[in-house]
This record gives sequence, structure tokens and C-alpha cells, in this order.
Amino acid sequence: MSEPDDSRDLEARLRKWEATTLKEALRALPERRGEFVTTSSRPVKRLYTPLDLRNKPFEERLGEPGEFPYTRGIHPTMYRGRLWTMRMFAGYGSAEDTNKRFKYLISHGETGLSVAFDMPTLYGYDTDAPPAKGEFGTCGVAVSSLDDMEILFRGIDVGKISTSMTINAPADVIWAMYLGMAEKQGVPMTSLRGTIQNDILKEYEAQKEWIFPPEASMRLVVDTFAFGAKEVPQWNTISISGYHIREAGATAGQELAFTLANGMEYVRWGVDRGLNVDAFAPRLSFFFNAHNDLFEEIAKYRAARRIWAREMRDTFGAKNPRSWLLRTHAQTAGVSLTAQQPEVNIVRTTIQALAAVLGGTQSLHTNSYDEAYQVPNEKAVRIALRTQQILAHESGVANTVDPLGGSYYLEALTDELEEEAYRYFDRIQEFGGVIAAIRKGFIQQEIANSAYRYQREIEDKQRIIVGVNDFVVDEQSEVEPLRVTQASLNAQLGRLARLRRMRDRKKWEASLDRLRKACEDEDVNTMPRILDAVRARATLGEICDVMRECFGVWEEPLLY
Amino acid sequence: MAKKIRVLMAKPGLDGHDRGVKVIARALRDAGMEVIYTGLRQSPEDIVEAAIQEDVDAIGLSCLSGAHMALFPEVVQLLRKRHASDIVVAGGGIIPEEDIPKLRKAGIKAVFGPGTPLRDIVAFFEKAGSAKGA
Amino acid sequence: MREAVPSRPAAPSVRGLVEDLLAGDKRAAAKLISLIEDDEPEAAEALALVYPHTGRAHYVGFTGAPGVGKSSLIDRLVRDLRSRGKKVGVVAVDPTSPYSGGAVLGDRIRMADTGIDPGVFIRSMATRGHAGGLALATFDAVRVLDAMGMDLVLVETVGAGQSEVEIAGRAHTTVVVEMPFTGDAVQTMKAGILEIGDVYVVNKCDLADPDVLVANLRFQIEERDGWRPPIVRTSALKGSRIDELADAIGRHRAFLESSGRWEARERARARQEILENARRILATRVREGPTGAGFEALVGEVVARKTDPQSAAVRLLAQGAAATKSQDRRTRPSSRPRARKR
Repeated sequence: MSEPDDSRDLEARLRKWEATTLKEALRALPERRGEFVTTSSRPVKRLYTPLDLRNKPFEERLGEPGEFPYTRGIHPTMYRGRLWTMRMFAGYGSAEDTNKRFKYLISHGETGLSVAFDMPTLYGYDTDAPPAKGEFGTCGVAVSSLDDMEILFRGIDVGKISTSMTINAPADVIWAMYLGMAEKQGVPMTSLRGTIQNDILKEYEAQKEWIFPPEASMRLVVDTFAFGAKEVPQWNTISISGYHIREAGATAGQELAFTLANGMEYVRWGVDRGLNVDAFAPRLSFFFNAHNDLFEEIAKYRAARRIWAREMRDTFGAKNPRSWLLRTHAQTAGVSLTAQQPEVNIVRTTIQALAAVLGGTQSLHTNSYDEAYQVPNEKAVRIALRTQQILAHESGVANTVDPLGGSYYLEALTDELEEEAYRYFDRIQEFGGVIAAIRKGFIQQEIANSAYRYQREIEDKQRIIVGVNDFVVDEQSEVEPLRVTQASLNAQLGRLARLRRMRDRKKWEASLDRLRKACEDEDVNTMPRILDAVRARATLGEICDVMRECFGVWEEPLLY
Repeated sequence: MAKKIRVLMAKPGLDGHDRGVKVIARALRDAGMEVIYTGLRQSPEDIVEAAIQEDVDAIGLSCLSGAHMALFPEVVQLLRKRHASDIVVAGGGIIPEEDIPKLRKAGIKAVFGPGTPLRDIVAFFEKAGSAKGA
Repeated sequence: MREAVPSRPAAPSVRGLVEDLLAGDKRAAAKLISLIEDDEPEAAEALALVYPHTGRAHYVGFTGAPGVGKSSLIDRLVRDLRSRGKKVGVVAVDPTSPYSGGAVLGDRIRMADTGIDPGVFIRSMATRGHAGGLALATFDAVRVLDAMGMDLVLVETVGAGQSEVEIAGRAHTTVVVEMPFTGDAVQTMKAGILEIGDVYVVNKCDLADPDVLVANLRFQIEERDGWRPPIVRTSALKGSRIDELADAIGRHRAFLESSGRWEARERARARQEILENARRILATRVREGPTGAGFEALVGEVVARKTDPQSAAVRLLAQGAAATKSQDRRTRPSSRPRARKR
């Protein structure tokens, strides 16, 4: 960035500054702490200067917006052209309940849907299965059948709106239900837009909502890549997610490293299946966390784009620039929300959302202030959405591309995070890849260690969390909990019972038999068979039971 | 050597979010306790059976999915049925304020919400263990 | 913290607990194990009451490096044994942290499904500072489960250090668990492992080709006392060939009985345990008993070269014989190197 002569001058000036101005200032007022660190315990220097950036050429690191390596953003005009999609994660109770919430959000200016499913659905169980006891609709909507999916999107034109679905282990089944629902709405698959999360690797690493062992799961994921590339070309068949890795306790650097390592693992599996990398890579999308530490978070997004572009082009030989783009969704950090003085969470969420926007995200969910203890109520959700609208329309941050690009601190942090990611890639490689590292518990252990350290820092007050370990007040919060009603549960159970009674038994049985055969034969794509089973009114639980029989169930290595 | 305090840490229901339960398991271990961790996706029956065989002083339940009202009280009821209500039960997770009195009434001795200092949790189990051993 | 619910008396008598144990009550078994593990005053009485009812169960030890899948294997084996109508106890040992004295015991994770079976009892145990991959009270717990009427009691060792040596001296049958080569790592067999196994298991056969390891083992394992240890290839994950493992364990018991080795092992163990207890009791009398003052006087004489250590020991033992019985309350039918501080 600087000529050698300039940097020698600068070095001399800085030495002088340290010896005079700084020295005096420190004598008059010592710094508040011996060491300053980020939310991820990364040490931060007092001052960043061009000297921190001098070792690599500017063009290679940054490039122009919309050009390799996309550090400054994937679009040349960024938010001047189109604002990010404001996509609020929503779901609770029955399909009817959530359908109402969706319509509420659309009426308040939301521009994309995002479905949260309940625990039984996430694990591939129907609402009436014994393990589902007590779990119906508490942290998402219950979808056990095509009928439920139809009700969920009743009155919403899925040809017009894009839908993101947070579903992993049974992602293929839920996606098939969405496709079946669209079919009944008369919308062709080719015009459907949306995302299934479908990122099973981070489940083994962090969120622990798995069903099958890794190899079987990966095969199912690649089945969706292949099916999507051919039949649903505008659909993102995966959202490679660092969000949950971070929520489980990882640092920003670990989130970045493990997410991208997972991403490359998916690409590897796709290529090994014989898919052309440029046929499916443009449909890979990402999902990162937006945590408290403003600059570290912005740097993380920028480093992620740079690494992904380089790896896709140079390691995987992708030719299509669309394959190089890291398109990402972002969500503010749920784990940062406090149950104490909950209204203050609105401020945290604002800063986190700002980080995601300055980091160049393509879509964003902002958490509601009451989420530390419940599924958010309507008012809380509206405020969260308003937060994004203020950033977009009042703050001015959307007026220019990558407004902080060139900041010495930010660029140095971006470089540091990138280097940390590559160090982790090497370690994972030493284990023999991501799945081997999961089987050995390496990634899980790294995350658990960071979680424990973070908690210890709070305990020891090395880290201040406002309202939790400092600035505490004794007050009862006034929040109105959202409750799932018994009536919703009864309606759902009634619908399931009716479905089982009324469906064409022969067709249903045959469809599950065909699915079983597909599971047993690696050369057959399971997706079309799952879609047929869904059309034949097989339930989520029934389809997953067939797969559980064929693939077995994963057991995690013990760690704590 | 003092009697070792034994605590069963369990995640009832389907919720897989185990960051909290693992942090607490470590903190209890670091405080010198023996922690039996049962892993994810345990039914109340599984938990009570394990607690009895392990002869623990207390059970810590963690649930972030909102199913606590269905699952926590059932653990207490099953312990009673098995003549083991001397085993203290505590719970934690994403729990609305208004549920806390109901859980207490159902026999959950303590409810730890987000932001509870680890030392409070450690102190609770220490007390539970020594009260029972005495 | 106790409540007015139909709960039993808070501290039932040891005799009552043992009666309940013999009737198959799990809570009584659990309480007795704790009592012994915590070295409560009633421990010796409990063990003395339990001992006459032991001797029927088949004690099977499992050793092998961490990560070879011992817990999953035991879980599968328990299910197989249950399907044959056997009642099964499990004692799973994990290490205690040397820093805090605490432990996280996670072996149950793998045994969650079998834990609620009425014919199964699983107990996790921390080493509490005892070296050797077992806890001091491990085999006391095994005896409690034996008296309870378990047909087999499986012991899972820590799997690191010298656990295999200690387990081999105590179990009727020792199962050594290995896993096949994965990746490029060169597999080295732990020293001594080839001499102690009665059954060898190559687990995780679903993950890698076991042929090299099996051939290697077959080449090195020799017949001992008329028994040629079988090698079983299993996959605990898939549950494959677990029945072969159960068969092999059963065959080893039959062999022990028909060859007179069962009796011989019982006698060897009894001999070892009497001596270990005697050693411990004597040491306690010498250090702590009413002869303690005399002991320090003797120490002084030895230091002053008025007498020699050998003669001092003879005199000490002569005094020690007069010690009261009360101080020997921790006499155990089990062998326990009593290095434990209180």
C-alpha cells in the first residue's frame, strides 16, 4: 500500500510519537486495562497504521466491489442497487398460527419469509410421536405433512416471495413438502426462490440436531444439490451456517474457519459425486452470526468472501464467477441477549445488525429483545424489523459500498481472521478432513473450550455484560409471553389422524418401498422418491423412519 | 476425604443446544463434584432411572426448546414414585418469568435463567449435596 | 430438602439395604455402592453382609484405548445378553481430575437405552485418584451387583495407563478392545496387551478394513493354559457380530469352569485379597492405632541407632496384636490398597 520510503518515515514518526505524546498521555492517565481484547478474546493493539497492512498488495486483498476476491462486497453497487432482504425468522405452534405471523410480517414490510420449525420436525418426528411430547410448536412451527405445509403458505404466493427454511437433518423431506405445496398452488419449480439450510456438518459440530451418521447425511445433501441444479435452479440448496457454531460458543475466527471448512467439504462431496462444480456452487449460500464486536464481525464477513472466492477458483477450479461468490444471510447473536433488562437487547441487536450491514450481508434477521426467555411476541418482532429499516433508511450506512474499507484496524483484522482460518484448515486436514475431525470430537472440543473460557471471563468480570455482571438492577421485566395453545395442538393431532385415515394406503406404501430401495442404492437420487412419498401423503416421521432403518442413527463422541 | 457430591446433568426432550449444560458440567467438575452427563434427548424416565442407579444428590435439567413445563415436573413426579424425592431437582434454560413459580411449586428447587452466575449454580449444588449427605 | 411424600426413612439400616438389595432393589444397590465408595463407617458391615451372596456372577473386564468404542460395545453386548435372558450389571470407570478432584462421567451416554431395562444396572464411577484405570471401590460395586443377582457384571476401565493389568487380575474374563487402522497412523500395540486378553475384539469394522490388525493379532496371540483367545470383529455402531462376542465370553466361562480355572482364579483372588487387607490393617494399626505413641518411640530408637528397623517391626507387630477390633472396621473382603487419605 505504501512505498518503502513512506513506511520508514512513518515508523520514525510513530517512534517519536510513542516517546513523546503517548508517553506523556499514559503518565497522566494510564489505560483502563493491561490488555484489550475483542469479544473473541483476540488482542487489540492501541493503534493501527499503514504499517499493519504493508506486506500484501492492496489489489489482491481487496479488489473492487463485485470483482475477485470480493472483499468489498459481491455487487459493484451493493445497497445502492438493492437493500438487503429483511427476513425475519418466524414460527410457532401450528401451521395456522405461523401463517398468521407470516402475513403480519409481510404487512409490516418484510421482504422474505424464514420458517422456524419445532423440535420434533427438526428431528424428523411427527407431532404425535412419543419423543415429541411437550415439544409441539414451542420453538417453531410443526410440519408433519404436505397438508401442514399447504396451510402454512395459504394465501401467500410462493411464486413471488422467497422462503428460507431452517431445516437440516430432514431438509430433503421438508423441501419436498414445499415443492409439493407449490405444485398445488400451480407455481412451477423453476420459478421458486428460497433456501433450505440443509447444513448437517454444523449440526454434528454445534447444534446437535442430527439424525443419521455423517456419511449418509452427506449423501442426502448431495442428492439435493443434484436435484436442485436440474429441477429447481433458483433455489439455494444449502445455507452453510456459522451462526450455530458461534452460538454454541465458538470465537469469530472459529466460526469463520469451521464454516468455510464445512463449505469446502460439501463442494468436495459434490465433485466426488461427479457433479460439475459450476453446476451447483452458485447455489451454495452462507449464514453467519453478527455478534457484539463491531469491527471483528465486519472483518469476518470480508475475510469469508475473500477466502471462499480464492478457494473456489484456485482449489476447486470453478470457472463461473458466480461460483466464487459468497452470498450470505446474517442473524444477530441470540446468545448475546440477556434476560435481565431485556429492552436493552434492542441496542445490542442494533449494533450487531450494523456489523452485518457494514460487512455486506445479502439478507438479515434481527432478534427480538424478549428472545432470551421466550418465542418473541408481535411487538418485539416489529421493533426488531424496524431496527433494520432504520439502518436502511435513516442511518446512511447503505449509501456507499464497504464504507469502512481501508480502515487500518479493519483491514488488519480481516487479514488476521483469514490467517486464523487457514491455520484451522491445516489442523482439520491433519485429522483427515472435516468428518474425521468431527468423529474425533476436535471441532466440538474447540467450541466447548471457547464457550467455557467466555463464561469464565464473565464470572471473573474480565468481561462486562451490561445488566448481567455490572449495571445490574432489580426489576421484574414486563413482557408478554407467547403461548402455544392446546387448541393448536389438538388441531394438529386431528389433522394427522385424519390424514392417516384418508390417504390411499396402497399408493402410500408403494412410495415408501420405492424410497427404501433408493436409500439402499447410492446411485439413485433420493429426492424424487421423497417427493413422491410426500405426494402420497407420507408424513415426515414415516419418511424419516424409513431412512433411520436404512442409515442408522448417529451417536456423538463424548465431550464436555 | 469428604463425601463426593454427585450430580446428574441431563437434557430432557429433543433440544440439542448443549452449550449451557456442558459449561455447567465443567464448572461443577472444577468445583470438585462428580457429574454424570447423560447426553442429549433423554426422557424423564431415562433421567430418573439414571439418577437412582447413580445415587446422585441432585439433578440438573437443561431445556432451551420451551418444553420445560411438560418435562421438568414429570421428573419430580417420577422420583416421588420411586421413593427418591430426596434427590434435589433444579432446572435451567429459556424459561419465561411466569413459569418459574409454577416450576417451583411442582418441586423444582431452583430455576436458573440466562445470565445466572456459575458460582450461584455451583453453590446451589454444593448445598444440595451437603444437605443430603448430612 | 426432603419432602413429605411417600419416601422411605432417610437413612435405612445397612441390614435393611442389603435385604432390599437381595430382593433386587436398584435404589438399595445404588445406596450401598455409594456407602462403600464414600468409605462411610457402615462400609465394612455392608461388604461383610453382601459377601456371602456373591460368587455367582461372571465378572468381565473391558480394556482398550480411549476412543475404541468400549461404551458402545458394552451397550450392544448388554442388549444381546438381555435377549438371552441374562441380567447384567455394568460398572464404568472414568478418570477424576487431578486438579479439582471432580469428574465428568459420560459413559452412560452410550448406554441410555439399556439403562432403563429392569434387568440392567449401570453405575458410573470416578477413579478418585486411584491409578490403574479402576476406582478403589470398583470391585466392591461389582460384588454388590453380584449379590443383587446379576448374571454378568461388565467393568469398563478408563482405558489409559496400566488399567489392563489390574483388570486382568480381578475379572474372570478380560476383553481387550482394539480398532483397525484409520488414516496413515501406524498402529502400535500397547505392551502387555497380548498377554492379558481372554477375548480380543476388533471394533469399528465399519470404518476401516480390520484384516491387517486381525492377522497381526492372530500371529501374536498364543494359547495360554489351554485357552486360545478368540478374535471377534465387531461394529458397535451397526451392532454387527455382537452375538459372537457374547458367545466367546460365555465359552470362556465354560472353559474356566470345566478346566478348574474358575476355582483356581477364585483362590488366587482370595489369597491376594486377604493379604492386601492384612497389609492394610497392619499399616493402619501401626500408624493410627493405640500403638501410635509406641510407634513414634520406636522411630526415635531407630533414628538413634538404638535398634534396627527389622527388630523394631517385630516388636511393633507384637504390640499390634493387642489392638482393639474397632479400628479394623474397614476390613473388607475386597482387596484395597488403602492409600486413601481422609
